[in-house]
Amino acid sequence: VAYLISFCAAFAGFATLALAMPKHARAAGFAVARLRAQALRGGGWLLLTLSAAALIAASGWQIGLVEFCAVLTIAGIAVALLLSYRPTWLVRFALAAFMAGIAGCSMLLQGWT
Amino acid sequence: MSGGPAETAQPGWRQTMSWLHTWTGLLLSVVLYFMFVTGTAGYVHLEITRWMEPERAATGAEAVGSSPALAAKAVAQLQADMPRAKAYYITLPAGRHAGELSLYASALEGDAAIERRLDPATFAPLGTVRETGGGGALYAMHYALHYLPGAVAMYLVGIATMFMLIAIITGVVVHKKIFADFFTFRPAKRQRSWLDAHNLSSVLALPFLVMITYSGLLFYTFDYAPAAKWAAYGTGAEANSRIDAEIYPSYASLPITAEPAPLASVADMIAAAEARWGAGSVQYFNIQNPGLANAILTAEREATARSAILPQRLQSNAVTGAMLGDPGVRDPASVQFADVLIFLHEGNFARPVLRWLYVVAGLFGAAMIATGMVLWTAKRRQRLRGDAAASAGLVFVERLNVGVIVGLPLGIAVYFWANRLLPLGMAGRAEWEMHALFITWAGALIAGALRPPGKAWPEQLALAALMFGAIPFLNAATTTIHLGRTLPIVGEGDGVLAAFDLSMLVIGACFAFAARRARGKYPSAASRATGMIAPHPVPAE
Repeated sequence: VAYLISFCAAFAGFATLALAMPKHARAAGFAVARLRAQALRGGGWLLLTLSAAALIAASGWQIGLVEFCAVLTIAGIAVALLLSYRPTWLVRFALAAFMAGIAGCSMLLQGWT
Repeated sequence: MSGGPAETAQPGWRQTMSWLHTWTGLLLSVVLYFMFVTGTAGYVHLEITRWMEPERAATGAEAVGSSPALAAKAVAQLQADMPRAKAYYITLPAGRHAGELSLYASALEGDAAIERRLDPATFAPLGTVRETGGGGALYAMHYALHYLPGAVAMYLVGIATMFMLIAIITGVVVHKKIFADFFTFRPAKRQRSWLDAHNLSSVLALPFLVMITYSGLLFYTFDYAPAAKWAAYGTGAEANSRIDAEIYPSYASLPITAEPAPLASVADMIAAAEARWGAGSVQYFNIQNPGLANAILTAEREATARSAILPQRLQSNAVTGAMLGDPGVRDPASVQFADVLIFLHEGNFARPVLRWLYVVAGLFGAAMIATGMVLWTAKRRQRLRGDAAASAGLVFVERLNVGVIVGLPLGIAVYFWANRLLPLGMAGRAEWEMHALFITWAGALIAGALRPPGKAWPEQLALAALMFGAIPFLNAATTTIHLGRTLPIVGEGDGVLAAFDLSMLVIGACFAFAARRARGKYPSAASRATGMIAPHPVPAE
């Protein structure tokens, strides 16, 4: 579950960072004002931090950080492929990942493993 | 990011780096690609071996007794085989080593060591029915290569790795827009697409690539960079033993002049370690100086059960049986730093999900090298104007690429085929599995040289798709460990074996997809002669 939460957070984080870039935002069907872009960027980095935190909490900081690097790679390629072939789905997928991440967190809180 | 040196008298910093990146990358790319593909297989070498020894009993089906009892039985066996030994090493059937018990005894002097792999339930030797190189042979190839003397391979691998490190650093320098292009992939744009794919695979896997390349050099630090050692310690055996004593105190061997003394109960010592870490959590233990008064037992925790990168160990006095606790001897900080990187490289601590991710990252590395090789040719092909003839170098690399990039995986598929098809009692069977790999690769190189690239790519990709995709069916036809029995829902279930067959299907599907996309990518001879470029195929979707 920690992997799932971390992946969802990293995917949503990368997607948010991509949406903060005018090039990708236009492709996804948005025009992003400068202020919004900055907010998106902050949110993206926050999500990436949460992604790292989930794995560090689950596996300890040594192995957690190794796992985080690997999850970043997978999430990054997922965002890049989506932007290349289905850019308009990016926002939907990012929201879904965000919800799945929250669902995963609540599963953890209720004592699932 | 142009290829050749700039034509101005004073090429800029980035252009110089670009030149360095292009040529360090290209020159030994074949060796590096080989290292990444076989090294990636190495992350799952135990699992591959399991598949390549189909006669082995289903893992976990039989109770093999508690590990303390098994440990005692294993040591008793070694004592019977070699009563006076320097050390015994035992790997218990825990974690990824389920279903096999490995024994090793190193002799005091001159004699040959004893090495055995046993079925833990019956103590019968493993791997006698079917002699195979297994996953271990693929794993060993990524640093020892094959057919080459050890020292030559070690230095060739070292030089290739140094080139790789240079190519990575210069690659970051010449990549002008790492962050702006972080997610950028523009499909179906010829050279642009290859550049994007090269950038994506390397930037996204950069932490892994830097780690794996730098740590790769640390395995043979003193062989690759011997000058400091020579200056500080001199040369010769005496210097080497002084280095070992000063730099690796934790590996120091005990004096063998002690009085004889019988071993305490091995079962009790292992049970004491398990009391600390949990039942079944001792993966490995060794006994130094068994039979002498200063004998020491060192137990190591199962790698995937710990939450640290470096191993966790407990030592016991093997004569009194008293636990000494965490071994107090620490190597110097520099050696510990290197150890962390080396353990990251090997990834023994990786649990299944992380192990899969290691494999994916390794494939990214292979993809980075392969796309780099193709990019080199795509860039030069694009620069040709009209009916200008391609240079001999361009034609050479173009024709080499197919056989290298597709031929090696094809050879690995044939390696698995050979494991199932070669006669069981054949002499030198394991070696012939390996020959089959290299004969196939050589065949692919020759075919790639003779056929025009526009034909060779789809042909070889399709063949690879067929050979990988058919492996589960071949397996079903020749063994009883096929998907019909190993899939959890239909059969009794064996995750490792099922995952192997399913992975072969996925790899086959990827090659099939690539084969379809590769058709018509190269301008045909006719259109090239008239100076036209073949229309670029639009992606099917």
